Parts: sequence; structure tokens; C-alpha cells
Amino acid sequence: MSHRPSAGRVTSAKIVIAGGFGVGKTTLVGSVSEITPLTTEAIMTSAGVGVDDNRQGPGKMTTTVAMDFGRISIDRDLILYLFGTPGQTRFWFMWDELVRGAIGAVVMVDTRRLADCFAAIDFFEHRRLPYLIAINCFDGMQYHNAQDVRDALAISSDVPVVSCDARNRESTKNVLISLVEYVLTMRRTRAVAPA
Amino acid sequence: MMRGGQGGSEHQYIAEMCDGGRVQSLAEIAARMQLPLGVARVIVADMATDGLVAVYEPTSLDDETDAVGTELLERVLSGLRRL
Ligand SMILES: Nc1nc2c(ncn2[C@@H]2O[C@H](COP(=O)(O)OP(=O)(O)O)[C@@H](O)[C@H]2O)c(=O)[nH]1
Ligand SMILES: [Mg+2]
Repeated sequence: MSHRPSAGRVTSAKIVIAGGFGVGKTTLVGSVSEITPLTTEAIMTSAGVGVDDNRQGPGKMTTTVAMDFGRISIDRDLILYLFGTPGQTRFWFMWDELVRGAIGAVVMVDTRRLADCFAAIDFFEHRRLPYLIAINCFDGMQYHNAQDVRDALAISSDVPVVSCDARNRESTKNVLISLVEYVLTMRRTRAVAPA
Repeated sequence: MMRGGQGGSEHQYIAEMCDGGRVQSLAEIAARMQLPLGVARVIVADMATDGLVAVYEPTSLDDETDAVGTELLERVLSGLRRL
């Protein structure tokens, strides 16, 4: 959007950051974003409230859910946005719109709680959005090696599994680079594959 | 922030965010104004109707030809490497 339409069009691209609660999504967005990660709220109607949520009572028709949002200016007319999805999977129906047109997704994994990322993997596989697995190494410890994680998650052998420290800007940058490289490789492979 | 303001103050705030031809995403506007995304969308659409802002549909990788999409990805990649 522009107050006065400018001559050169600014293009934006986006990457989605997913994973279970406390896995480091907000930290990762914050380590690389040029703006303090904004937590934006989206309104939820009763349609989004799961069965476990009826304690709010029938009168509670809306609730809000936070989402991380960060920005990286790639160059003067290209902006990369990072969207951290909310942890609760029952809210994800509204991120369909955010996922549309995204480059791909980073699925963050804490190896002590591997199962927390299953829902995210299902979500992106179902929507055919390319993703990679980023093992967030809490306190420098890696409780499983990448192959163990790959086996435990039963993901295809071409999905990259990388390690990162979400607090570290270089480390986060490398995760994003790995994702974009992977998506580029996939596109090139697809382009030459026989019909 | 602007939510308790008089009618029109949201418009003013959004216009200022977009001043000088700056491009802002809907998500960023919503976050800064502490408004739900759906509300920001309606306000911005109203402003577009009044000609106060221009709304650009985001470049979607799905819509691009493979060549353009690949070029965009390469720009993102080299930009990230330069960071
Ligand atoms: N030691 C360590 N702590 C981290 C790392 N990443 C995140 N944390 C901490 O883990 C907690 C949860 O992180 P947060 O980014 O809020 O998780 P989110 O729920 O996925 O957004 C916070 O207290 C972070 O400071 C990491 O790589 N190493
Ligand atoms: Mg968070």
C-alpha cells in the first residue's frame, strides 16, 4: 500500500515460522528482524474455538491470538516478512491466507518435545508448502542428531534438517538461507523433471 | 493507540505510515495500530475507495511464472547472504 503510488513497485516475500509453544519462534523472528517483532492480533470467532475451549462459555464469541511479525529489507524494493504462527493448532485455519504465496516455512523443533511439531509438518505437507526442520539447540545441546530427528518425524529424505540457535542472528540467517536454497533447488529439479 | 480516537484518526495514521510512497503491509499496519487484521483490512479498503491509498496485491509465488519466481527467490537469497 502506498499513499501516493510510487514509480517502482515494491515486492514482498514471506516466510512462515512454525513449531510448538516455547520452541523459539518469537526469539528467531526477533534475532533477524530489523524491527522489534510486532505481535499482531487476529480476531477469532467461535468457529475457531476448539472443543477444549468451551470453558469460556457460550457468550464468548471472540478471542484474540498473537502472531509474531518481523521484517527484513532485502533491497530498496524487496521486503521479506517473517510470520510466526501461533502455537495452538486449532487457530491455524486462519493462517491459510498467510501461507498463500509464502516462499516456505521453517518448522522449529525442540528435540525434548519432538511431537510438538507434528501438526505443523502435517499442515505444510497438506498445503504443499516447502518447509525445513530447524532444531533449536537449547543451551548448545543437541539431544538427537539430524538423522534421528528425520527418522522420528518420518519426513521425506529431501527435507533439510538443520540446527540453529534462535537467539543468534547469523544462525537464524543461515536457517532462512537454507530454506530459500532448498526451495530454489526444488523448483529447478521440478523444471527439468520429465512430465 | 489509535483505537479510541475520533473517526478518521485511523485513516490519518495509516496515511502517515504510507507517506512519501512508502509501502506497508496490512499485517504491519494492523500490528502497529493494535487492530485485528480483518479490521485493518476493512479500514484500508475504505481508504482505497476514497483514493487515499493504493493497494497492491502481494506478489504471490503461486501466481508467478517459474522464471519470475526463481528470480525473486534468487534476490531474496543474495539479500540474506549480504545481511
Ligand atoms: N537456551 C536457549 N533458549 C532459547 C533459545 N531460543 C529460545 N529460547 C528461550 O526459550 C523461551 C521460549 O522462546 P520463544 O521464542 O518465546 O518461543 P515461542 O513460544 O516459540 O515463541 C524463551 O525464554 C527464550 O528466551 C535457544 O536457542 N537457546
Ligand atoms: Mg512466541
